[in-house]
Amino acid sequence: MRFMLLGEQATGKSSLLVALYGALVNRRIEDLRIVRTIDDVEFLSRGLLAFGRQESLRRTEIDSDARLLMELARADQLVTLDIPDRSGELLKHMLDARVWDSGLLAQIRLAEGAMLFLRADQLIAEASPPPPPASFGESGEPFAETVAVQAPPAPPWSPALMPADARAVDLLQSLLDRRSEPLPLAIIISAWDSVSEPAPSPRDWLSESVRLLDQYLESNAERLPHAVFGVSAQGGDFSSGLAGELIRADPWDRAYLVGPDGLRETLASPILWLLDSKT
Amino acid sequence: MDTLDQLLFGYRDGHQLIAGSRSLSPRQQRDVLPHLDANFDHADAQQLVGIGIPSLHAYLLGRIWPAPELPRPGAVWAHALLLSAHQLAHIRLAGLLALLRRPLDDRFDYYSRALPVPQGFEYAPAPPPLARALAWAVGTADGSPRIVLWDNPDEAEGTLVGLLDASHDTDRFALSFRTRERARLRSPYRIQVAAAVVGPPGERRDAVIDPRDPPYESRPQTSAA
Repeated sequence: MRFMLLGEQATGKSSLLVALYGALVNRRIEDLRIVRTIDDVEFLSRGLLAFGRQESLRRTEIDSDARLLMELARADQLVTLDIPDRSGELLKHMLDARVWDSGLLAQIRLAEGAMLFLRADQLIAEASPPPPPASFGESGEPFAETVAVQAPPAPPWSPALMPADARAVDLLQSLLDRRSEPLPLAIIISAWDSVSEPAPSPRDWLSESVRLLDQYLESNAERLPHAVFGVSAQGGDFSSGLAGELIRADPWDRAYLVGPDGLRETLASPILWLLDSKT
Repeated sequence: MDTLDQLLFGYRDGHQLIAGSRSLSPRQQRDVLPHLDANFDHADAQQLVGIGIPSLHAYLLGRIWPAPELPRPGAVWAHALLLSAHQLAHIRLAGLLALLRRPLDDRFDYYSRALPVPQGFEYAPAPPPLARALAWAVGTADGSPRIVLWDNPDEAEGTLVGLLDASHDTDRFALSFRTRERARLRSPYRIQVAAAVVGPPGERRDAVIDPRDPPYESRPQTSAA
């Protein structure tokens, strides 16, 4: 089964693959067992070492040909999983240039499912109101005497200025233009640990915080059957320090996933959902 | 005075063009980016790349360095010179390596103007076994990609540019190369010089050359990362 990872840079694509690999190797997922790895898994092993040191993963370079390619056993069924890990910057430049990358285009035509990655903390920051202009007092009233300052000219519009949810919709629209068959889509909200407690279910969070994408998905549900998952592949923010009990935990035990309804599930849930969507 | 265009790529909300003496269209930037990005194992490593870019009508000669001072792990700097067909055919290329500079701070003035073509052409030749293997790899009649294994790929830099200099004018645009820590079996470069080879087990490795084990005719290799 070929599944595609869709997401711009630093949205957690490689991190989920690494955490999932760690969970599979260490038998933390009852429903799935690795039978054999087919391609080089060094990047996944390196990633686990980085997580063990509480370091974020290195970015994936643009011409990377890394992939998670392995044979898995699910009950009495054998499944070959093929998930290329392409650079998110490739997707970013593609959206900015509005020109499909030939490799991504080939993947879209062949994929039997996809995971679309969005970062919760980035979306939260985009949704926050901007600070008031400097020439206004705290009350919002203009100062009586202000010095006229020439505002810098606004940069010309380009796709790069679009917010993340609009870019995601732009991507999905382009994708449907290139593909006639339905594409099962697991929406992965990464950095789920940054969502304030009490966290809503990922499905509710998407509809509240990423409304444009949520509405687009709902209105294209037949062509884009989807489910929403919240994932913390690191288990927390390394830069601000992990909570006490997590520091001593192994990377595959720190990572966690929340299913569409808000219940804890295994890191393989999006894969299992995609597999079931095809049967 | 003849001048060379240059480009500086680095990480700013993604790996992208930071400064340059000319602009790039989104399509040109897309064509250039894979050649000016890298994944490094060691903070003191560097990579040299040379390849013709048809959409730019230019030959790209660039060097890539890790950028551990930038906030995103795995960020890199890449500085590239763009040579027109006339420049590729008529200037001494070996002197160009001295123009490739890693940024030391956030001042990029040096990279925003075209550079004068240097007059000197001093360069460090490779150790003889490596130089012989590179010359053999460049001269193979089938023109298929070759990987030259060498513990310190940086030692190949001068000789690679020297071989480009020594190639016939009409062959230079097609002669592409890259030094890197780990070469890939599937690669767009005619010559890769690397300390190791990575790729799926079972893929053909008969394009791998060990300079310490001549003659270099194709035969199965066992080297793998």
